[in-house]
Amino acid sequence: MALSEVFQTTFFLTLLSLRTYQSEVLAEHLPLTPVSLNVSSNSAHQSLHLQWTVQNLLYHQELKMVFQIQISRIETSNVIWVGNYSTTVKWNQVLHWSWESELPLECATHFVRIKSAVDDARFHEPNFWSNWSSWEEVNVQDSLGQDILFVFPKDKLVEEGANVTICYVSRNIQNNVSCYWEGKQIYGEQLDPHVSVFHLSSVPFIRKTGADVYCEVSQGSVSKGIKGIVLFVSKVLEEPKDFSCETQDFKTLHCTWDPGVDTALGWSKQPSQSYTLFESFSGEKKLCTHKNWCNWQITQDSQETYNLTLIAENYLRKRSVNILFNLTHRVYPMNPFSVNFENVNATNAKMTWKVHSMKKDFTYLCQIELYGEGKMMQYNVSIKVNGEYFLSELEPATEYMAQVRCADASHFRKWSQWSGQNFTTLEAAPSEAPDVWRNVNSEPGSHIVTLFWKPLSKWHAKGKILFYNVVVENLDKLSRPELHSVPAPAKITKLTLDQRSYRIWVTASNSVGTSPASVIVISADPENQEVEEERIADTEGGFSLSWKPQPGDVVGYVVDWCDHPQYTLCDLQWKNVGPNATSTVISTDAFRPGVRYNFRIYGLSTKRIACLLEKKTGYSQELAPSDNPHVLVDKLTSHSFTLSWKYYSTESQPGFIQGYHVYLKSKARQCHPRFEKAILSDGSECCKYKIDNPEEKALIVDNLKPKSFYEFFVTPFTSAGEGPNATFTKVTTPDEHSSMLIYILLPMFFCFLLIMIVCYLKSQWIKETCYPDIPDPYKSSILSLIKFKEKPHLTIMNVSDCIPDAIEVVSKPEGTKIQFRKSLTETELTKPNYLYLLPTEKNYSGPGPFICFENLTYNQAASDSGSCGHVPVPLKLPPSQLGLMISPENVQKALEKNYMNSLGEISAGETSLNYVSQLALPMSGDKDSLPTNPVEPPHCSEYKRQMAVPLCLASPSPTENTSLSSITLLNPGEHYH
Amino acid sequence: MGAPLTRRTLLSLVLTLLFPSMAALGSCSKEYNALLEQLQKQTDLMQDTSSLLDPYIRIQGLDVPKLREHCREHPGAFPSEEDLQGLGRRGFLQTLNATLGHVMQRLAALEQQLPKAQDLKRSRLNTEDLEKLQMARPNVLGLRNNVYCMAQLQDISDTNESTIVGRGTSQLPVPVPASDSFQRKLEGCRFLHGYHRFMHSVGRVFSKWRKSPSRSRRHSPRRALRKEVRRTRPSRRGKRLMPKGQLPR
Repeated sequence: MALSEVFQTTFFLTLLSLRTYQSEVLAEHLPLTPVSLNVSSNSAHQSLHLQWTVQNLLYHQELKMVFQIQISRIETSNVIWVGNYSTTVKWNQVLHWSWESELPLECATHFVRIKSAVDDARFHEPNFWSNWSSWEEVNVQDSLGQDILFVFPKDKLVEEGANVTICYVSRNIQNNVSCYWEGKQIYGEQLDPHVSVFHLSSVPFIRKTGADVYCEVSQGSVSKGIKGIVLFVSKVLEEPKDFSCETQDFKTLHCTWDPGVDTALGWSKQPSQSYTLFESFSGEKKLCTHKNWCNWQITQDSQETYNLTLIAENYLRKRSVNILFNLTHRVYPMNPFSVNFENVNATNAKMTWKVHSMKKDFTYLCQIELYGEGKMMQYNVSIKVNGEYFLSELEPATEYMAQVRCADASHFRKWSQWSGQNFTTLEAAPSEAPDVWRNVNSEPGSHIVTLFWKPLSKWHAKGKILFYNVVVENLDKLSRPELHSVPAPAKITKLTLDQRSYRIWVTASNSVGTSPASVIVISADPENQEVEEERIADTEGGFSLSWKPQPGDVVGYVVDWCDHPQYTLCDLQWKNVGPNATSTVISTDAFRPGVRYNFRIYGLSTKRIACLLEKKTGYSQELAPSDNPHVLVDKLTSHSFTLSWKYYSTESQPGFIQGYHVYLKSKARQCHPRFEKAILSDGSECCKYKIDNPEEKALIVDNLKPKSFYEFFVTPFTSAGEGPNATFTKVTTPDEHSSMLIYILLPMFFCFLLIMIVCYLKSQWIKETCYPDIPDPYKSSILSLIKFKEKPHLTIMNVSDCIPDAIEVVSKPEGTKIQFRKSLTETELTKPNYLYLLPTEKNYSGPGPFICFENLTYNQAASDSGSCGHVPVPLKLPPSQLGLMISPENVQKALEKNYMNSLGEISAGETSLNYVSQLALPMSGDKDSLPTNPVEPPHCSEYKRQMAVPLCLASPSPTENTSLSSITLLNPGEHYH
Repeated sequence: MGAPLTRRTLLSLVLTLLFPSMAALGSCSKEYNALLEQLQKQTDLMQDTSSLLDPYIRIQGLDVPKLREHCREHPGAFPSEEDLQGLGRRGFLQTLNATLGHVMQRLAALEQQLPKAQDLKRSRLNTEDLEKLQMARPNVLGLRNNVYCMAQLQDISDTNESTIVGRGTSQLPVPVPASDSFQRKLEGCRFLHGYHRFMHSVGRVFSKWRKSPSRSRRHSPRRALRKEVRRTRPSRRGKRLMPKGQLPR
């Protein structure tokens, strides 16, 4: 058996050494020449594919050989590439080799030849090359067809930034060919009369559907066609970023990465890059179906270390990233679940949760976050499977949110997601007494006490406040305290108490209990309201108040005010200040500019009695007055007037009124004393007077000119400025003399009135003096004189004795009257209207009575008409008398004087009178005709009126008429009686 | 009595074969004017180059003057307006239906050339044009549905009427080799140009229909017969593509 083994070994060794020797001999003596060279082309890849065999290789002989390949273009002498290709050649082996051309193969004829040499270490002699094979021609152009133009390469896929060579083949050299790259003409080089080549350097990514290169064939200006190619430029494949893997259950590795740009192209030229996971220890590979994540199944063979490679790949490029890790360090726990709260009371709760089991003895580190009351608390705890944590120091009646997350306690890598739940603690009794204040209004026999309290803070309420209890206890009289329950959320209640002292307790209650009581005492004495109010200035951020400390023991001070003093519900606010404080700053957002805030400062005694100490008032920001006073003008004289605005309220203004500005405009350029020049907002000049006392609400403007025009305007001012602009009020001073006239006329009027009264009282005397009664002729002494001389023909004319020569019917209609009057007047002659009663004695020489009757009515009418119709015709009288009587002016003057003036002018002592008789006119309506046709006075006529005519005017000389008897003087032709 | 019945049955069968997919779309509107108005609206929409050709040109990078000059309809690719006007109503509807069928196929082929919307989104590129292109096929489908309904409303008795269905659609350009994407881009452009022109011509034919009185016979015995025949076919209602009367937008 052993012998046979030795024999076999010896045989094989001998055979091997024999073959080696045979090879060496063959290599040395027979040329190993490449034969059967076959060249094919691949237009899509622009590549030449060579196939050949090596001649003279022995059977099963293997030799390392090197082949040199030459490639020429267009012609064999134009070698464009030479290269070597080394490989181990076996007997009868067909060798393959490819070469990629930058120029599309269709654009030029290519030639290939090859030679070989042995490159084996077993041969120590220097290598020698075989002969070149014959040139193999590759001409793709011949198969193009009969089109007039071809552009290559078709649908080439390159990466962004690559250099691309494009060419066209034109069948007709007479054609003009223009080529464009994305619409922009490109220029190339001519390879031969039919072929031109264009080089595009660093091509950019244009679009996913490819960039267009096209050439237009034209003859002259006529386009004969367009041909082109699409160059598919891909984005450069990026290396995946952030590649990481982790497990949540030790069963699956979840790997993620950022894939970067997508390199997919349209026309199905390139799909999106693919991703593959490769694990080097196990040698397993997995093609990922998603772009940015992939799951890797963990084998259960306790492999702890993993070397994972992520390979991104597209048609043009391959990129990879690698991570090496221990599985236990890549744990990303799943979220905790079943989060619950147990034994929840007012301040404590127990939180429980569960986690997914990983493997034995796996410990979780869990983190708890508790949110509530605007705060966050954080706790850490280590658990195995079931977690629990005791939450303490919680606030009653508060909603909390608790969440938990966990991580690998041994090799912390990453927290899980949060799992959380809300819970609310139970209520507790309120811990603080409500802050209570009061306002007391004293009325006859009672106090109206309004209690205010502030809602307890959530911190102190410890639950929902349901109601407030107000207990009122009479301190002066033993009685049962009264309980008032005020439901929440009321913050105010009103009590009517008699004028005794009361103690009031106020407590707040929720569902669990009652708060401590807040105590306040209402004194029987009315509140001291005589405290003087002090003005305060606003400071930045609020009102700074200070006060004198109250004598005696105080437990504190209270400052109260209204946030909205302008409203009925003024929203009373108060601030408690400690017993040692004597100042505080009241600051609130409720303060508004222009609103006057009143502050009252109370001291709280140990008996909880509030005593008003001080009052302060001020503005958070003073504003200019909102309105101007309504000004009244009073006591207007020619030199002055008074302005007054006494009803202007200074309290309701948006600032402390400091005084008033009185503006006065006049034509005078100079301002009056006390006024100063001022320029108004419109640029006009005027005079200004400043009143510094806000309570001085009147001003006497004097030193004015009579009959002058003035304008004034009164506006108040505060520290912020004057009141609003308004129109000036106009005033004109009266004339100086008009007042004087009043001064004169008034006394005169009173004097006249006085005189009239005196006259009225003395009318009898005046009458007797100025208008004595006309004597009755029958009672006259002349009758006795006549009787005494016994001259019977001389008698007193009796009316009944008269024989009328005309009859006037008064009651006749007017027309008839006129006719009648005409008939009468036609018979008339111009006659005097006066009847003169003359003494009968011819020898009468003394200044006897001369009586003249005048028809006054007639005369008046004539006088009114302005004619002189009543002028008597000349009488046959002595010239001395006639001269007086003839002159109509004298007569008229005398008469007028008699009518117009008082009779008093006639001397009372005159004894000779002329009686002028008035004759009634037949018709009062014919006055106009009277002057021309004076009516003859009837013989028997009614005496309407009698007037005394001064003798000096009417009496003729008695001596010259002594021969005349008692006659009536008529015009010539007038008959006598 | 038996002869007319056979004739009607045959007519129904012809209609069913003409509009095989439309039969699945359920009942049609019985209002001739409303249907015609809807057809016109659809043709108005489809002749608008902003709905299809312009997005295609932008997506393919053909929006340069030199290339737009060569984006012209191949003569004979679609029936001319003159040809369409010369057809009877039956022939016209048949031609339209057949042409739209071919258009559907070409649009499907064009869609294959386009990048995927998700790829565009991933590359943060505008997908608006792509979405417009993807709406083209549902639009054509909606139009075909209404063409089918119109054929049902029409009284198509002249079965011997000549059509140009075969001629017009058979001359649609044959797809070029897959390796020449440039040529395929241009062919797609020319096809869409012709498509819009064709829809314009169709719209003009429909507008003439509006001017001429309706040939609708809503309650004709033939219609009843057609319905009868249709009821005998297996229902494909579950595969309904477009709701009745709804215009794809």
